[in-house]
Amino acid sequence: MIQDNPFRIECANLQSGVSMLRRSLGAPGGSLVTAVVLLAGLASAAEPARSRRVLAVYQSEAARPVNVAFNAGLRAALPSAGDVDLLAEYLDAERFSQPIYEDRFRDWLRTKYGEIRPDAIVAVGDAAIRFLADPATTPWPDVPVVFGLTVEAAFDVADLPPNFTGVTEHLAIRETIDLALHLLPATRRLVLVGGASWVDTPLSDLLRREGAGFASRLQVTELFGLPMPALQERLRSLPGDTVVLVASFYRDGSGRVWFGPELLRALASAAPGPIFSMHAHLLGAGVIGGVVSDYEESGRRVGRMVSRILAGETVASVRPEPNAAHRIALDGRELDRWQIPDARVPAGADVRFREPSLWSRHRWSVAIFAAVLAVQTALIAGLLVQRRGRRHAEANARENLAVVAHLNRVGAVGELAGSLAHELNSPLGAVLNNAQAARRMIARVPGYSKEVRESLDDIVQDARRAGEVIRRMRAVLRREDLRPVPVDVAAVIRDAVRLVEADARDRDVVLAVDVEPELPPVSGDDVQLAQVVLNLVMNGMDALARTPREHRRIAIRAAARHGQVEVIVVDSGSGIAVAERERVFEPFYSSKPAGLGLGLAISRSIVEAHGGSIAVDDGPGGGAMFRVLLPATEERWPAQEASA
Amino acid sequence: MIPDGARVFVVDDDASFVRSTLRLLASWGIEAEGFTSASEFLAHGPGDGPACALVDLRMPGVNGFDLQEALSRGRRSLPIVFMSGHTDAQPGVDAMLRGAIDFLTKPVGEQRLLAAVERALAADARERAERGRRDEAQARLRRLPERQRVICELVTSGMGDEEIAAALGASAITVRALRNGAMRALGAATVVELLRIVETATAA
Repeated sequence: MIQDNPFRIECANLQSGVSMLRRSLGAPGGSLVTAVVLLAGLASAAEPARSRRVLAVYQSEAARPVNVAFNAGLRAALPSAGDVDLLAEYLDAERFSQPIYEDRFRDWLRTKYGEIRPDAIVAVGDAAIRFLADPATTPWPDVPVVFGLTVEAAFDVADLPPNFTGVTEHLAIRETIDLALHLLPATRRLVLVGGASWVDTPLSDLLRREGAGFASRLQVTELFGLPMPALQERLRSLPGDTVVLVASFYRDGSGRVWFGPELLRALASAAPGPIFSMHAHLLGAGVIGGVVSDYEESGRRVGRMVSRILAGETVASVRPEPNAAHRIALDGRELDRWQIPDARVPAGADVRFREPSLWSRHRWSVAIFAAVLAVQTALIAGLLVQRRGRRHAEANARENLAVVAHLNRVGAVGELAGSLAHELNSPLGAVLNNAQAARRMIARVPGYSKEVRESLDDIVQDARRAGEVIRRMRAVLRREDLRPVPVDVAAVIRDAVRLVEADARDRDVVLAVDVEPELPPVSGDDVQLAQVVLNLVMNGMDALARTPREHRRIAIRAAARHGQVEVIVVDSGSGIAVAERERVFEPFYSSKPAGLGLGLAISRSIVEAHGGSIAVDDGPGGGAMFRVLLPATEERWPAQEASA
Repeated sequence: MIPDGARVFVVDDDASFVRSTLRLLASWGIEAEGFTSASEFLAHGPGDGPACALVDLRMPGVNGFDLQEALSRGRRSLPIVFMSGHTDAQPGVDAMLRGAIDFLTKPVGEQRLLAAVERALAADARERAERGRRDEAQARLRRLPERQRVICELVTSGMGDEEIAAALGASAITVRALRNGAMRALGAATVVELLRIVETATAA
């Protein structure tokens, strides 16, 4: 068996020679010494060692960052330079895909390497593997081939010829999405980005499949195969609660070829959120990171396999293996950019490019500067306190704290509203279905009392109303759902007044409505605008509490003013002091002991969301006069809008 | 407006919602069957009769979209109306893009629900009729003698009688006779009708 192996004589590598001999002779570890002695004898009798040739055939061009990383690992793992001559050829299959090309490439390889057949071949990438595995195209059907840079599902290893072995990659897509959700728990959208070339589509399919597993938690948007400007446009249109995941982007929809760093620059300039990737070599180019595969490590593994084969092991004994070396790698600058606290970074994550903080670089100068600053601040604060009075300042601080606490609570409500809507809408739907079903069932039975029917009617109506309330609540709390339609301000005022009429009667307030005919429509949401009118009228009624009953009056007027619609709500109360006029629109500012102080703040934010303005002034009779200006729109409301 | 024997499958993880929907459908005289998970429904299967499905979008485990995809791999296509307790617009857009009949937010008014179910069943009826016509045309085409079938194929490829005759090495009279025989057997009065039948049979 030893005689059968031509490599034995040439072997100058002690290590591989030993391992070969041990296996060939079936020698256990104890007879290592014998083997070494034997080898020494053999080597001294050998001709001068010929260096072995390893030819790496890459699918894509040399400058691809992924090839650079792989090549570095491969070179490092092969025996030292004098023993192995590492040659490289580039199929450049993404650019040259005509059928005849592969034949010519084979012929050219045969011509170039005619005399010097490689001892082992490294096939890098799917196209290179196919080229070398296909009996019709491979120049050397019986030379051992070790493959790399192929995703695990791309080939069934059993289908490859017996002279093939290698390393497969597992793209940790799911793990990377989990990582993204862990780092950014507020994420609502996942955008999958992929290129248009045939190299990109299998990986895009992989992204799609894995992304589908998150469809219940995230809105998954697929942006595959678009030209770059269109892709950027789509990315820019997405809200901030988005993360982007890119697997492969060789060529965009217009045919332009992209390299990692320039691609990421283009994507990062448009992406509303951080870009995650499963490729370690892209770290530093603009991705935040991910659960990454390290292709330098793939290169090393392939190199070790090649070494074993050169050392005489048969291909069959070198089993294919996955490159399972995944780790979490993150770019510290990106973590800072997206304001991800260090506490969320998983333990053991490899955080690179972390700028040394100001503190660690200039510890002493910072300390001295900070001390000076602190003294200065203290002096200024002292002066301020003196001037404005200690008491006042403390009261202010307390008030600010309370405002923050309130705002936090409102923020929490916004978060809750989403899940609340689902939790409530389903039972509400069941209530509505049951009531509607019952109504139909009793309609067929004669003699049922009118009251039962009416009570069911009310249940139906109230369930619908409750559903509507939830929908609006979501819309108001999210503030992004404003779907502008032409709105008739006269109808808005009519609706709002109808809602407060009873209340006004109870409080002896006279409501006087004066709406100019033929008002132009405004663009916006009718329920939100009604909420504004409602808030202003309710506010007025509260202001009239101390006004004698016979003088309680609120006038609501609407008129067209130079391309705008002006809505005025004026009460006959005692007005608002000039100093307080701006503050009344601040959240949680309330003059009423029972008031929450949100009505006017919400009104202002609604009006501003509609592109309008709101202000308060003295009315003609000394009461408060709120003036809302909303831009008019040219658009007429469509017919079906009115009937719906 | 509801086809005879039509059946509506209601799939929602909220058992109470499923029950109430079944009651409502029953009050309209529509036969319905409820499932509290997508996998339960997939195990049961959509059957062969006229049918459609009302499916909750968000369910633990297999969600509405997954269910839609699983069904699309099956033998028959089943029109789907999605429902959701969420009011976000995006899933609705996604659902429509994936070919759903409608996307309803809970609570659903009965007119809206009935209209969606009717539309889904109408789509199913169209699909079934299409399939029936296809099966029928295929069967009739299969029953033709070999020579007549070849003539039909050549006619649909756009060749005239003379060209077919030349291609087959037969006389134009023979070709015409074979074609007329095929048209009689397929119940086609004109060549245009013949083309339509062959096209229907070969449609995907």
